[in-house]
Amino acid sequence: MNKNRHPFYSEEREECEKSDGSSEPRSHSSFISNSKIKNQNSIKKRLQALPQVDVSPGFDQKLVALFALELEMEIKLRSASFQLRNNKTRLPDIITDFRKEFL
Amino acid sequence: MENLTVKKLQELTDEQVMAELQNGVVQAFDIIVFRFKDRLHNFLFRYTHNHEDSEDLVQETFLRVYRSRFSYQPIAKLSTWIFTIALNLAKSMYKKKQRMTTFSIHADDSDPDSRDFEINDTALLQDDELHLKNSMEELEKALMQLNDEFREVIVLRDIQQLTYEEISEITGTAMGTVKSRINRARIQLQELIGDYVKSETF
Repeated sequence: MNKNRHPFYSEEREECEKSDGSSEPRSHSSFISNSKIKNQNSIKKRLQALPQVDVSPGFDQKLVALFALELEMEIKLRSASFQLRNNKTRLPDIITDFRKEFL
Repeated sequence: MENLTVKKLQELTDEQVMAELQNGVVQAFDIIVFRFKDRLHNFLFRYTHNHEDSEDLVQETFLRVYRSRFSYQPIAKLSTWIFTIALNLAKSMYKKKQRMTTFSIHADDSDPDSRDFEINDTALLQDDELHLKNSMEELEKALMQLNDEFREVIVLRDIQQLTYEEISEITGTAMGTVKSRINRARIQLQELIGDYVKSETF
């Protein structure tokens, strides 16, 4: 059985065809449920066949700019929290000490 | 682990790359963006059907991923965690938009010039054309007619091809509910584009 013969060929359909080999008449309810499954498989395959929609070419640049801002913000927050935790240490004091040591 | 090159990072699994980001390797963020940007955009585009909105949402998702990197636990797949963030953002964006665009379709009795807002049911008008138009366009339209709960699960399952377990985690609903929603979403889609599908399939 060539599965490539139809773009929406389903395994469910193959199963139906196999069972149809017998001369037993199928019940009405099983026909309805099988047709529902077939329809659902068809929908599933059609959804899978929808084209992939990728980001636009300028996306990376925009994200890089946003990420740079994010990093900047993070650094500011970190230094602010460092200042809060070490409120006795101030940069001008360090510079003064440095001058005392080396100049 | 700071010395890991981008090439080495590329060989790692998603979860390992995330661990590197948690360890302070900023290049790991580039790898995550590279791996997920198109998948996320495709998912969000199918959910919102708007390029601009979906790109904004993808960007916001990545920024959230970076900000919340320390809250990620490797017990869940990274993709599941990222899709959860994206879906939550998309939902809250929709809520905001709905709040902004809600208006009454009924006439204001106090205003003599006011009339009932007329709604044309284009779905009914287009019914005959469904057979003639491109099936993909019709399917996309039908997808947008589903309610949000049905659309999100069917996009995650049939387009993104995620497992039921992953969808259950992302949407925060029970597996049985996920399965039932997917089933009902397919039936609704079938009803919306039914005639076209039947003529093609049988």
